[in-house]
Amino acid sequence: MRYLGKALPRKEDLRLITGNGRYLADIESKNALHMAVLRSPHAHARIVKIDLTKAKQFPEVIAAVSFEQLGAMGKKLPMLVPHPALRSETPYPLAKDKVNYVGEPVAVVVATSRYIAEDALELIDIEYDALPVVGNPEDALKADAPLLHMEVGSNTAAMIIEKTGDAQSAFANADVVIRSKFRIGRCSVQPMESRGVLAIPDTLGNLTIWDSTQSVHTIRRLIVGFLGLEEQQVRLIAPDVGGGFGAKNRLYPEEILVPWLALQLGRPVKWVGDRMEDLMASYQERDQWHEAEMALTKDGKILAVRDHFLADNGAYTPFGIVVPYTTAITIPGPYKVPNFYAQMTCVYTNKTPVAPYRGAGRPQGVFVIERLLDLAAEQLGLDKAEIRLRNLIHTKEMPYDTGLFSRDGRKMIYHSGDYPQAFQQALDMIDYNEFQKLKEDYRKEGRYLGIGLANYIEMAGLGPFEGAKVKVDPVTGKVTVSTGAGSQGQGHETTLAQVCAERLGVSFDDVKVVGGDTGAIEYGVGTWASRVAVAGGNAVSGAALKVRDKALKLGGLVLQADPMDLDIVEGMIQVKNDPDRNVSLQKIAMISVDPSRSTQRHLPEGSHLPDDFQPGLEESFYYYPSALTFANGTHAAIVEVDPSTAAIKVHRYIVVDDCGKVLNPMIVKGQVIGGVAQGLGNAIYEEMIHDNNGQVLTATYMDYMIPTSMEVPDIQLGHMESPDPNNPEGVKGCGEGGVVPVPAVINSAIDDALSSFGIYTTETPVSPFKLWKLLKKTKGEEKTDGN
Amino acid sequence: MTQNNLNNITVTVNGKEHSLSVEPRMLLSDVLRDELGLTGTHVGCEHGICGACTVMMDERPVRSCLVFGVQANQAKILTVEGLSNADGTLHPLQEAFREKHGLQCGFCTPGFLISACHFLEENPHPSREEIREGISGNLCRCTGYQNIVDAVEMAAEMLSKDKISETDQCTVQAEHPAGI
Repeated sequence: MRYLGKALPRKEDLRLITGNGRYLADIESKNALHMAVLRSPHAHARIVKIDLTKAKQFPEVIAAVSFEQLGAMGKKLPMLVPHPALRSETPYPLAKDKVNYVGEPVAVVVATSRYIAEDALELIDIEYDALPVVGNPEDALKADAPLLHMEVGSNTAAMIIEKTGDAQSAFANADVVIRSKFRIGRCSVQPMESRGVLAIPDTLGNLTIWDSTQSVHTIRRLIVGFLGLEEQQVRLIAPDVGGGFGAKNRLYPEEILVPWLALQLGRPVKWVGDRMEDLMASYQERDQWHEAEMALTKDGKILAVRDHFLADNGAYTPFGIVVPYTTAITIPGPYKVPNFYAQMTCVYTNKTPVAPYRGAGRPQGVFVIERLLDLAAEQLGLDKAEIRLRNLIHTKEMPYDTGLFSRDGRKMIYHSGDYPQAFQQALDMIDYNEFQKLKEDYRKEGRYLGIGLANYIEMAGLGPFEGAKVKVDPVTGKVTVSTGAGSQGQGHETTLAQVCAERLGVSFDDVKVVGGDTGAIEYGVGTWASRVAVAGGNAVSGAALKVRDKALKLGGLVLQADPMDLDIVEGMIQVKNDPDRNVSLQKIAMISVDPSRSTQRHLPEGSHLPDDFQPGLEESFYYYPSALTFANGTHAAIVEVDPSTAAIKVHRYIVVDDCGKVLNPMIVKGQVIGGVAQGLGNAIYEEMIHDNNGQVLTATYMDYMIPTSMEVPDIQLGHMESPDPNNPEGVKGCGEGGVVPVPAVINSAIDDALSSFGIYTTETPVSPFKLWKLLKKTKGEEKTDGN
Repeated sequence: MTQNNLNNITVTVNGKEHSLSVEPRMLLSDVLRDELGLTGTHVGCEHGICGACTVMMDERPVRSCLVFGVQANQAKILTVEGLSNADGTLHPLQEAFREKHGLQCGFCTPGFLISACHFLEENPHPSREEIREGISGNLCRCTGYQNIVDAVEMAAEMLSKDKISETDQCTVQAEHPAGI
């Protein structure tokens, strides 16, 4: 292996560290008009009147639009990922009659500058009639609850059961049953670059749309469908994208409004969301209420898990029920759970809609089972590591069929990995056996230390497919890889180039990767669900091997050798035993398009290109994963809590991950550590908080706390590598595992630290303030029995 | 807003002097990005928390989203575009960020580079904890900070071995081309 598995430095970095990146806001467009959005200040209200007159009359305002002016565009946005049990509601591009969450777009103004457009928003005369607010899912389901969507007839968007085995009998026959409620708070995604769109029309009614999105082909398809255009009329490009994490992976109203206005006005229109818009109106996640129970034998073996949960979905279901569904099927994780029952109820409330955020439902599922295991250990008098070891699936039990199905209907079967070994490695790294002594030493100093553990499964590699086009330039010999999956910082320009260089046999320096441009490749899916290494990596590999095959055939003709006897090394096709007989890929690419008109004839006398030959060294390959991949790992942390202030400090954080074959260890490490940092935000600091009227109380970074370098400790990584047997490159995906188990680990560690106070935390984030309130309930007194 | 309320300002950005007319309310970040075409400075939160828009103004780091363009009149500004030498040689911090994988999406990176540059001037031999504190005014959502701390640590070593550490790293020595 020349390139795969190596920590090669990133190709994308040079432009980004010199200020030459091009993010959406940086894309220049002469004559661009700027759109600003008037957003609802109410969580639930009827729109009585909108008068745009004054705004329209304001100097340099070109247009002002509310629902009434949308005409044929006044229809509901399409949804992604439908489900038969889902009574789906999606928003209109601008609110019709009524608003359902704070931040919902109500009107837009287009002006010659963003400053002026924002000025003019102030001049829109709008009158609301406030309606009762549905603030949480429990209230939403009460008989007299106000309805968000009359058409649905209730606030239940979907009620779905996922199960395997017979949980009821298992509970009836269990030695021990434990129960707990859990509340997982609502987080905002918060990529550092907010969302934005720029649409540039041409005189023929075609559009170039620049969009800070994760899925260019999908978003283009949705936009053209909505606007009544053909795919060929629109090129959609995601330039450098300043973080996505799921927030930029669906169709928002602004992505309809900007291109529509550009077509209407015949001029480029640009919208770049500001931070307050992003905190209020970019879709959010987590937010679930669980009532879970676990049945066990007296020696701590899990017999069954049962969970009823409410998913607070917010006002619309733009992404179906992906989040709660993923939670349900994630709960068993790496453990043997022979009987399982999860009933999820997805509920409409007057909050910003929920859609997948990094981890997408998985952190909630892991939180449920790991907290149940901690409780069970306590009840059974078992060590929290021991109970996990007794239930982890062993390698010899693989392939292990969980009995559950993924959201694309595939069986959840784990094929490879050594879960007990990963767990043991993490225990060793964190000196688990020495911890009690450390804890006691700290206690002697009046300090409170706790240890937390959690295991996870990261379901990745979702289809349906990803594509790649590999082309050797006939003039320069350099190679371009085009793929539908763009990068939001994951480093695809580097990892996918490594795959291409390795499989084609060219220099890494000669490969350029283009992602996130519908003009570069015909079909694509996008970057989400840790799928790019699996679906995209294997697509690049497949396309590179096709180009290689074709190059070797033609190379055989040129070198008068059997293609089987040829190899490609750093861009040169050479005879294996006689490397001086060689020809460059560049020359082969040139011959393939221009075999005889060049300055010299390249083909041997009397030979010619085969009759069925196609020009160019250029091949596309679309890879459809045959099975899901399941990465796995263990997290462990040592946390200190100060009971007088409830301050939480993470002393150590350990991750052992196994994401199959590693394309670039530096990038995998970066993904894992970055994930843990977001997880610590979810676990301790970040929560969207609303008052009783549904007002957002965390609409700035003064209130919504993103962890800084002071809150995130250095993270120690251990590593395992079990190749995935179902895809050629053996990869599994590593984008989300880092974030998934963190809340479970932190709560576990905090409870351990404060065990003498009888503290048991069931919420995430377990912010210092919440912990302080819990400690106040105990009156700050330690139980004398040390329990 | 109408054009009759413009102020003339002169700013020296990355060694090059610019005279322009701006509205009093126009933010320095917008002056740099929209008027001068220097889009390396990014606008992240527009309320002074995230630090993505950090630039040096008269040798002090400022949030360019909290400074009006008119306040920068007669000031010397350094943006990320001026951090490397005029011949394209990268600043040790830029080298170190690349070497240590101190960036992922890269959006917050220019702000980090400027903040770290000033920090290393004030404290050329920092401990790891001091680095963490030194960059704590900048938010990054991708890296988890660890690699950024590694990068600043590496840059400190590079600078301490380098003669140019005796000169003021955050003062532009040569004129840089405006725009990209």
